[in-house]
Amino acid sequence: MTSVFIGPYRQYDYLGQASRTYLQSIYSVYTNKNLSLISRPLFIDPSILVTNNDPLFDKTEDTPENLSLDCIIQHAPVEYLAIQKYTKNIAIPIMQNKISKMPYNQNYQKLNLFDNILVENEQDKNLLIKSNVSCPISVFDESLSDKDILPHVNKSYNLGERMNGVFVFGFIGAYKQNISIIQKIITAFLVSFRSSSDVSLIMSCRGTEQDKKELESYYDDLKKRLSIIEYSNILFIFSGLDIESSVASLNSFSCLLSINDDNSQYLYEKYIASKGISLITKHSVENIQVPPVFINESHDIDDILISISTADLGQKMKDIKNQQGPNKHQKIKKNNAKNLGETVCHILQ
Amino acid sequence: MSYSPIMQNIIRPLVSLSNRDIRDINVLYDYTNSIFDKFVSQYLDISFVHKEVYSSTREILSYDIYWDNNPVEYISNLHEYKSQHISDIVFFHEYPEAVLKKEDKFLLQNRLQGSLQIYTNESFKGSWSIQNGRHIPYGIPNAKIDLAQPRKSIVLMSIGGGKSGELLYSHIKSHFPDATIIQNISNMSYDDIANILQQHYVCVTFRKSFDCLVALSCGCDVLSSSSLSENGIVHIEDFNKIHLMIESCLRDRNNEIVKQRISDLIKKYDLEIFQNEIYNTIRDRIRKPFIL
Repeated sequence: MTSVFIGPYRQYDYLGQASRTYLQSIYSVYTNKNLSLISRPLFIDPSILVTNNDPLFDKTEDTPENLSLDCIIQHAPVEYLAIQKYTKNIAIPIMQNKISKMPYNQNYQKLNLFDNILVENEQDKNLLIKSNVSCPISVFDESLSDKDILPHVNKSYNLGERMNGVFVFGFIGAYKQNISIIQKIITAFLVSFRSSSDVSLIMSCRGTEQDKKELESYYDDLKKRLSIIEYSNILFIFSGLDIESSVASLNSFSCLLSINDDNSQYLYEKYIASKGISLITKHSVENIQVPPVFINESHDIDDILISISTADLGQKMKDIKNQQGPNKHQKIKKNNAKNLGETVCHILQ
Repeated sequence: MSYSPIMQNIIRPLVSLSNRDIRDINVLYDYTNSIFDKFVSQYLDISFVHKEVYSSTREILSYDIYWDNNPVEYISNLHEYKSQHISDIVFFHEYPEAVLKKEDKFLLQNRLQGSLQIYTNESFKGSWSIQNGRHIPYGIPNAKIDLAQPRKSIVLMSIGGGKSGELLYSHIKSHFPDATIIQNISNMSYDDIANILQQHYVCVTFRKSFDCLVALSCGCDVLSSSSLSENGIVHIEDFNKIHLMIESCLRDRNNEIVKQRISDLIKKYDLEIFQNEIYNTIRDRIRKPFIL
């Protein structure tokens, strides 16, 4: 009898790191209990870098001769999840679209077909219950920590002497999917801090050189329109947004602007939750050290999302800068996903 | 409710391996309307799904593997199958075309790094610069024919041969009025084709090695532009003199030699070995995870 874990554990990004931790957690418990586990990688974002040399893959991707599947554990976005007949089906849904105004995601109905759902926190559990998901939902302690999730990443960007001690706002996300909010952030920052030298902005984007040129050109035009002659406290970092560059960016931030158009930022929120980094976000976040500042999205009469207001964003950035002062990183509690494996085993008993 | 077939494409090979029955394996197949297509459909116990129906079935069917027979064309739409997490095997049936440059082969091999490459002739490995591949010689069914039965003189296999095939046929027909042409095999089975070949002494084909072997197994002398080297295959140097080559084959035909030739061919291209090699290869392939 064998269980299979399917997840994006070969992706070299934050999601991949989380998935590797889940796989490791389940594998450890299975090994202790003499249970058989195999794994199969899912590639949610084909453009992301992949990691191929983790010894864990050799242990879990080998398929036994006499395979007899009895449980499928899927760590994937809800729209990817699939039910297999004659086996137990467990979902660890990746719920990227946690927009507080729209909890009733139709895709979540699919989850009712699963035997069990494992979620990372009470907030996700409540969201699913509100969305009429009625099958058993278990919460496992998944908070990401340096030790368990990011064992080898301990660097931040060197921003130069001039930037030492300044308050750093930061954004992380794919350029193409977030053009609108990226432009708003730059506008809000320039308008709010045009004469301040103790604040800076890092835009860490996944994109091409061409994308970078496009953004720089937008920035130059904007400065002209705002009659700003010299202002260099904005840094554009374009990379593959692999785990190292993402964490290096996060480690450089005083405040994460977690307002991505594509709602891909929630894993970064999990990381900063234990780092003492401030957060401007669109929705509630659990287990966070520094209370987040919420920003409202406008909705029209039919509750259709319009956008974040640039003026509101600028004001919130000013508020948070005034409250927090210069960059301070603190490390607090370290949790792990060790009880995920135990939770899975408990379900299977 | 939106649906993504990717997860099913990941799960399906594991379910197929659990079931242990090769007939459960769903192969998305690159049909090119060739005799080889007809052969695999009839002689391999696998569920083949025509790749043409892929776009209309991807939402409802999941696949264990994708099988392509034309590597040069395949690399241009490889992304479509990769993005759906479908592992692939790519067959090399012939030597590369002369127009294919060294850098083209390098590019092709680069794009096919994650694909399992199967070559049917050992010397293809070097000529296609294949690094990690598997040599699987063709298997040819034993036609069990009666060589004593009288036959017509010549059949021209011009499948997809177009105008040049028709011109060659009229040239041959002017010398051999009983000549036959096979042009469209879309409604024929492998056995239907073999049955036609068995009614002729000589078979003229163009480039495909597999077609030559089928014609040999049906008791034909084969005139071909293929580079395959087997007893009974004569290479066409000059199509204008093909009638002289046909005359020579008809004049020199010896049923005892043909009988021995078929027996040797069936041993060399053992059908059962081919079937088992393909089944094992597909099983090995789907045992491994799909890696982008």
